[in-house]
Amino acid sequence: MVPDAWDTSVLSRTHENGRHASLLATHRRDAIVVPLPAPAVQELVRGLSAPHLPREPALSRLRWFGDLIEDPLAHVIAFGSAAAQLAGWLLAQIPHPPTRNHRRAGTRAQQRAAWALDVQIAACAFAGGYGVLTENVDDFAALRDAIAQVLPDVRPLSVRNARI
Amino acid sequence: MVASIPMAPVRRSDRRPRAPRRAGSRTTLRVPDDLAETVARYAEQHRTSTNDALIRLAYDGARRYEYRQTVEELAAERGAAIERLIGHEPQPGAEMLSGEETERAILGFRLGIYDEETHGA
Repeated sequence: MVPDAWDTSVLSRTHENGRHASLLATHRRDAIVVPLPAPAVQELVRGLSAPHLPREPALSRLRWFGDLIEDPLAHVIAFGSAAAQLAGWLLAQIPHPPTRNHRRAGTRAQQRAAWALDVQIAACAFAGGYGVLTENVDDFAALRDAIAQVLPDVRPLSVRNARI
Repeated sequence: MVASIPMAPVRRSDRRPRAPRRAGSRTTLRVPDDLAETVARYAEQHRTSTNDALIRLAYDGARRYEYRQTVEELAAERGAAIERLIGHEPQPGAEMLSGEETERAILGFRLGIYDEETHGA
């Protein structure tokens, strides 16, 4: 079975009270690798390093995630050459998220930045040999379909709903 | 007949539970000393036999190996496909974008040339 990379919607909710804390606990208990796409790590660190946050609590949380990222079980999937090329291609073909403004918070600029990160995460997982575990199923399913349309001969990106 | 309490065998409380029976062919192998130490420590920690400890550690290694194989094979297969997609050969003799067109195409978003509503980020 192809393992799933955790996107930001999952990774950000693995803290002690988070929706996916038990998922992380299961991986730790059974010594299962936690695959983290590099762009998801970027998004996480960017969020917790924002200057408007209370410094010490934010640094503590950043350290908590830092320990997870550095954990021998965690594997950060590099955003390498193949992933970068695929992400560029996907972004050119699908410049906007298929959900557009529906169900999305934030300004247009923020939505576009988030979409660009989703594209990078999908490309990173695909090129790295992984599927994606996400709460944002509709957008990743659109990316899966776009990839499958142009690369029909390879196993498609599997997109698994983290809420189930 | 059910054994009465005095007839029941005396069990030592610190006795390790029997390792589970497994199907499969039997084999004899030489276990290197350094690995044997780890196996013994694992067996002690998990209160099992050294044979069972060796099998569990082998299963753990096999799982990691299978994982790596699956991911690496798929990454290679997909990487080659991406290369074919991006490295598509143009028609022989096709003209290239001019230098200026190239720069506009690549830097269009940074320079605000592209319409965001049409082209996105």
